[in-house]
Amino acid sequence: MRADKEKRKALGKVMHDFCAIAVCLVFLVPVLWAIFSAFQPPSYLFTFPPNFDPRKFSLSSFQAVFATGDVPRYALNSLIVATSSSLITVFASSMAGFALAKYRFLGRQFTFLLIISVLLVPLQVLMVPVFLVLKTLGWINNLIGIIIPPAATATGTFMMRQYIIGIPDELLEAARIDGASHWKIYRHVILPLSAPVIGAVGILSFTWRWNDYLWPLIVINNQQNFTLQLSLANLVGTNTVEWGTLLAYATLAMLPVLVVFLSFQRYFLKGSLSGSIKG
Amino acid sequence: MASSDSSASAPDLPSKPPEWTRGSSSGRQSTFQWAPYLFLLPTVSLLFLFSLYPMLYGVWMSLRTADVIRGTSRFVGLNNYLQLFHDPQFGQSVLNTGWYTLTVVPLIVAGSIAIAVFLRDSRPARLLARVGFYVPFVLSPVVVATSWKWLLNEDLGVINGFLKWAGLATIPWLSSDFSARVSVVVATAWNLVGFYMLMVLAGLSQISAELYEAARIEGATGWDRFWHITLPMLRPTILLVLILATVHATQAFETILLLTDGGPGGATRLVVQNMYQSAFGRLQPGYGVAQAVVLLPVILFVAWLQMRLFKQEGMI
Repeated sequence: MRADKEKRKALGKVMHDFCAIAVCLVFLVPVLWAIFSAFQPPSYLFTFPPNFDPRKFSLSSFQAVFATGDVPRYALNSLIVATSSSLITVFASSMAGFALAKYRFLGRQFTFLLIISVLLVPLQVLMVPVFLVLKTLGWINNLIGIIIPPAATATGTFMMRQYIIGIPDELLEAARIDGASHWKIYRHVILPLSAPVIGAVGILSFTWRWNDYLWPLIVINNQQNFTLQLSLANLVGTNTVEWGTLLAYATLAMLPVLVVFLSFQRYFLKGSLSGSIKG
Repeated sequence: MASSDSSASAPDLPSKPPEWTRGSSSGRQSTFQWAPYLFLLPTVSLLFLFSLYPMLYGVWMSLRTADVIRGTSRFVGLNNYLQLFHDPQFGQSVLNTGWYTLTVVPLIVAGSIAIAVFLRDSRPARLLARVGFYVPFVLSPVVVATSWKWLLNEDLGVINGFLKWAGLATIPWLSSDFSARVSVVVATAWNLVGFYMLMVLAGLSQISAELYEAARIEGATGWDRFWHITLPMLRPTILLVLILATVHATQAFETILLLTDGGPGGATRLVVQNMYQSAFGRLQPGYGVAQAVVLLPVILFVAWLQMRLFKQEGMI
């Protein structure tokens, strides 16, 4: 009797697991469907019931993507922007995190609250004055205009500070007694010991910057400096490009982020909980 | 929460100056320390240049009107703000932001709780499903909008394709007021819900198993346990989700811009998009910023609420 009950309970759990995966797949239909359609030959794109025969799948939409513009160039721009911006984020936020975690100085608490609260005010609200600041700096139409401004993030600073607080003071004291300068302590003690959180902040900001649309939209207006997101968004608006091509383009544009996310999902699932929104 | 009574042992702040900064030679602790200020310099200068200064500059701009042809501007006092009251388009965008917030936030809250409770046990299949539910949150607004536009396409999309095939009437997903609003709410909630699911999961992990055990002995059903243990214990988490989702909703812009362009006929044009169009489309930056300034206190208030909550939870 008892074994029977146990068995039924185990079966219930397996059913629940099965449902969890099924519901998750249904939830993901919008994006799965876009990827699925990107592999359809144009002649099957609009048929219903759709073609599920893998032998008829084709890559022609992906080839068509490269005829829409200088796509490798846009991809390179996206890569340059995402890489350099997240490097700056890592350096700026690790230094700030170090100062806020390990020093006592006048205005520390104030600076911390200022950083967190001001950086939480979204660009959406500030875009007009920020645009004018960039114009004054001569950064309009220049990749630097999308690299530098979003590089200071509340999430990054917060995550760094929380992590560095946990590094024992004794290590810093020992280095200090050995005569290390503050910079050397940052460079040779703090940075190596913060490797995990540096990885997390770097990966998170890489995907944020790769995905950015608003910055490029207001800063960039000549094709040469388009990022992947900006050029895809422009094509979606025109109605002159085939849906298959757009979806193949979207698939290519999300691919790096999906790969990074799936390989480092631990960082995402933990990092995003440190109390902030996308930064 | 557990840490609300532990201010004495707050984890973050050393109660006296840390020993390590004094170095080897004694008596030097009175010298002024430049190091922390220098370490803060990059972040603080970025913050000043691209957040703080634009905020103040924006307020100044909102008191002026630009002469686009001569490239000058002149002081107009509160004119831009007074104009807002007589601008039906701005009024509509405020209303739109209102209903959008009031529908998307409850949807996100209910959805994230439902998904988190459903995926609570850390069995492999459910951990996998968590990753799946989080995927939309890592996609860019452009990719999200493109995918949904394809799914909901009136003539070629698969949903209407199915309806046609089944002999039913098709639905103008993005081109009638009501269905465009529903589509916008569903697509943006879909985009964000995975993030909030994680917050709820973190909240769930704080609830002690003994409570459930005791309830089981008392003979409580699963539903009872959800209403009388899970929900009340999740209160702080739900509050946080509410606040953050509201911030998300008031600044919603990019996905909706790409999905409906504010249409049909302005039915899904929210305040931020209205501001964007005033400033960049109609070249009235002062008027655009005035709309942002109206929005700013709301966002700062919500940010303040959020900070208070973090403090209560011992996160700051």
